[in-house]
Amino acid sequence: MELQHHHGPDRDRTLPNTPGGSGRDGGRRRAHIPHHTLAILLEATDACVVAICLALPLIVIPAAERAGELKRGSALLAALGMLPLAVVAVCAWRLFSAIGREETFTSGNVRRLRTIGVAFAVSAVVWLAELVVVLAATADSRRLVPLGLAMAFVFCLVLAVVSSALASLTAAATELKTDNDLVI
Amino acid sequence: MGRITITLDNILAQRRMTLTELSQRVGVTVANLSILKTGKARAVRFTTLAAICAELGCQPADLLHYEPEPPESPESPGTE
Repeated sequence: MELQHHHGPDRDRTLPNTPGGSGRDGGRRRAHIPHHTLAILLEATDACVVAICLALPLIVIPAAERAGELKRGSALLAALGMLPLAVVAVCAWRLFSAIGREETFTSGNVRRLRTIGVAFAVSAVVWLAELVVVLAATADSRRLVPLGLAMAFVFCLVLAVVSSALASLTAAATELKTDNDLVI
Repeated sequence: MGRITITLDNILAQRRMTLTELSQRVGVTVANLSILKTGKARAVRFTTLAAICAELGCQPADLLHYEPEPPESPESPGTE
């Protein structure tokens, strides 16, 4: 057990590296988004990414197939590639919900982050396999460029979402470390 | 809500002991004792408190004091 030296409403939410610092906490205080609001923002971003991941294989690519811009089967390939990213999106959603409930450091979140890592690895393998299949199947590489750029766009969006989750986790870890450093 | 203050200075002066000597005896760094003394610590472990009390020959109540939050000053009567 520990005796808490409460600072009341002055509970430090800055990120000092030195325990105790200079004591002038007010000057180093930075704007802090409440966990619940941050979780909602992250979930909204996650939902946008999911919508884009679904729109590509369900709407955009089938339309391109019908217009003859892409070979038949492209939508199926895209759907296969998006499946691991859908797993990432679901895990990220649950991660953000947990952060919103201030349940940051739990074994459940560790499992979700590991699942995200595995899903990205599977996604990389799937996309590599699809690249080989598409290159072997088509002689016209012009249409592959926009498709490749679209895939890169989706990947960057997903990575942005995951980075946001990691940033939230790191911020919470830093706050915990700061508190721990000030326990004598 | 009030706050807990730690009056380490007074007792160290009474025992004619410096912060450095106390840190060597209790096994806490001078920096951490300084954090404790200046009221920047967030918490104190019971083991640390016990070690300090053992070296200084005092009780925790001699070190820890609760200061209630000062009441809000009543509004001065305004002009009507």
